This record gives sequence, C-alpha cells and structure tokens, in this order.
Amino acid sequence: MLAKRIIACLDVKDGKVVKGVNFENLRYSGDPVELGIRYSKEGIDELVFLDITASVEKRKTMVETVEKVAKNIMIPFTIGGGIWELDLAFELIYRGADKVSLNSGAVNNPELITKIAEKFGSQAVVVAIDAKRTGRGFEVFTHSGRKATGILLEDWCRTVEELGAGEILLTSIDKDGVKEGYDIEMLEIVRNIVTIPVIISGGAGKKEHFLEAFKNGADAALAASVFHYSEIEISELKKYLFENGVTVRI
Amino acid sequence: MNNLSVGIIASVPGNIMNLYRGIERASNLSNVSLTIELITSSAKKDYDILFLPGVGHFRAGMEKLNENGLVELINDHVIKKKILVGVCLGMQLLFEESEEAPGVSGLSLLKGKVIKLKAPRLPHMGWNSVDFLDDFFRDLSKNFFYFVHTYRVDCENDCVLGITEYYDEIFPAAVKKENIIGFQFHPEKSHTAGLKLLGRLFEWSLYRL
Repeated sequence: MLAKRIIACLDVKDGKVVKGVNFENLRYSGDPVELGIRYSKEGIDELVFLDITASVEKRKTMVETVEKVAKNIMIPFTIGGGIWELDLAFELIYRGADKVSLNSGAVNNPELITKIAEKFGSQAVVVAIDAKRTGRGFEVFTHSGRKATGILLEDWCRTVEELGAGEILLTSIDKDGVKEGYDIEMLEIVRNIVTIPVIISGGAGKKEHFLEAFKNGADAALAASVFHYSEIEISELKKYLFENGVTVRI
Repeated sequence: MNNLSVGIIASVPGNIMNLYRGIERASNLSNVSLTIELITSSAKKDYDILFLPGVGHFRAGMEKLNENGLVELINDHVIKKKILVGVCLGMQLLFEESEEAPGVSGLSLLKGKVIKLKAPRLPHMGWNSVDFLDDFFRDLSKNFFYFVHTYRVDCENDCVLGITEYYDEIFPAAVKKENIIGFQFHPEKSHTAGLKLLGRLFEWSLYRL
C-alpha cells in the first residue's frame, strides 16, 4: 500500500536554512544539504527546498542548491520559491530536481503549470497555495503571504488541477508557525474538490497533528521547525503513526 | 570476477545522472567494483550490464531508441546473454506494446503489454512496499521503493519478480526472465532500500554471468 509521506521543508536564503514564524522573523539553523542528509537518514520521505533569496544571485543559488542536493541525497525532492519563468523551471528539473513548486508564479501565469506538466509529466509540478481566512472565505495569497489575490481557494484548486498540477502544497497562513495543528477545515475543503495528492502544511507542533492530518485525507504532511529544532524525531513520528494504523515507510 | 562493466543508455528522457550516482554509490557499498559509462550512440562496445532507464511517454522512449540505433545494441547485448536492466519506462519498453502508444512496437524482449492503472488517482506516486517472489531477492520484501508511473506491465507470472499494490490493484513492481530484469520503481530515489536492491542486482549479475 502507498505510504503517507512526511516531508521536511527547508527555507533557504543565500544558501542557508531559515524558518519563518508567520513568514517573518527569519532564524538561521544550518546548511541545506547537510540538513537534508540528516533528515533522509532519519527517514524523511521527501524534501522541499524553498529558496527565499531576494537578490540577483537567486537563480544561481537555486541551481547550485539543486545540484548539491541531487548529488548527495537519494530521495525525491522539490525546489520552489519564486519560480516565475519556464526556462528556470526546466533548468532546475534538468539539474536533478524531481519536482518544482510554483506559487506566485502560477497565479501570475497559470500556463506555467501546463507547460511543465506537458514536458515532464504532472508529477513534476507542485502548486503551492498559501491561503487565509478573510471576509471572502478562504482566500489565496501570494508573495510569501503578503499579497491578497481576491481568488478563492476552492476556485484556484479546481483551476490548477485542470491545468495539470500533480500535487497541491496547501499552507494555512493562519496556522503557520503557531504549532497548534494543521488547518483541518481547509484540508477538508480542498480534499473534496481535487483528486490529486494534497500536502498539508503549516501548524505542526506535535505527533498527534500529523495523525489528525492523515485521518482527514492528507496524502503528505509537511513541517519545518519541529524537525529543525528536533522537537519531533522523524523516526519516532513514523513509529507513532504506524502504531496508529497509518501506512508509513519505516 | 568481481569487476563489471556497466553501460547506461542516456538518450531516453529522464534524469540519467541520478541513476548514475545511485549505481556508483551502491557499488561503493558492495564488493563488486564497476566501471560505468553513459551511452549516447550505438558505438559497438560490450558491457556486462546495460541499464535502460527512462521516464515519460512510451512513444518518445521508443523513438529515441530507434533514432540512435540503440535497439540493435540492446538486442545484441541480450543475444550475448549479458544483463539488461530496465528502470521505470525502461522496464515497460522491454515489452511488446503499450496502451499509452497504440501501434508502437516495444522492444518485445519480454512477452506482455503495458496497460493503464485502474486507480482513480494517478500517477501512482510515492513510496510503496514491494514483495519479491524470487529467492535471490526475497529478503528485500516489505521495503518501500519510490514509484512514479501511470501505466503498468501486464505479463505472465513466470516473469514477475516483485509485486506491489495500489487501490486494490496488484501488479508487477519488478520483472525478470533469464538475464533481463526490470524495476517499475526508481532504485536511485529509494534511499537505503534502493542501494540494497542495486547491490543485490550486481551480485545477481555476477551469479548469472
């Protein structure tokens, strides 16, 4: 049986790992490749590298990160963070990324999703969606959660699936960094709309939160700081999930 | 003989370097030393083990092999009783035909065809456990390997090496007949299980050659 996946996310800025709380207060905690190796030894199923570098060097650092990761780590990984151009997406996949994650770039130019899916298959395209409760319902935000788009979460999920997205990486801005659990309400809404895999993100603080996400239809659960600061050991998390009836890779 | 020459066909789409590094790493961990080369043309050369990797469309995969004169190279390799290893699309290309590309002939080295998975959620992507049915590989059963595919092989039981299950459909995760072997999953993306499997593949190759 297909295993539920545990994914570690590494936010990378200027080649270093950082993690935001509500996307702010960036803190340093290590080399992305070293951390990736450590996680893969501990049993992480997949890695996501989000490059949040804002300088003109961004493209170069992204390509370098992908090459270093592909050379050293034998599990699937995704690269994302400001991919707006098709040629960059293609290059990152050619250099060894299994998947690219699109966020603001896909909102700006939804055709990117289709073009990447046509060339490499839908499994190579993850659409990351950051959403938040507003007066309109669940609304999609871009630019690291700073910019409201006016697009409703439900509509955007339908659109990206039709365009060829292979997975949705769903982050609740309300829950991110708070460590009180994933946004199950948001997960259920998305789960009922799309058939592609949903990775839930934002809010993991303890093992029970992962179990809750999987029981409510998540295909994968992503976390960052609880792993970076060793608040949850990946091997213990897997054991806990297994004992509670979840199929995991042990 | 603990030294084997390995050729990896590099003209089919897919990230060949990941497989190259996986093979290299697995050989460093085993007692089999390998010389590994990438093959882009049909230049005549003998290898003990030939890898046929690939991702993407069955038609594109066969077109690339035909364009580069590699079908002949593969057939010669098989006639010489050397080891041929198909990975992902490369495993599917070993068979006669595919629903993905009606009218396109596969390599037809193994009997059977490639059909679409029945699951409502495709591709079948992620870590799935495999049961190996052959004594040489049996103890690797229950390990999880990384899969990404939409089509599956439909063949006689005598060439099924390993099975997996997705949405109640049980299908070959690995195939084997004489010196031809294939893996539907990606050993190069399957961490320690993948390395163990590749190491075992080299031992099996030594035994067969």
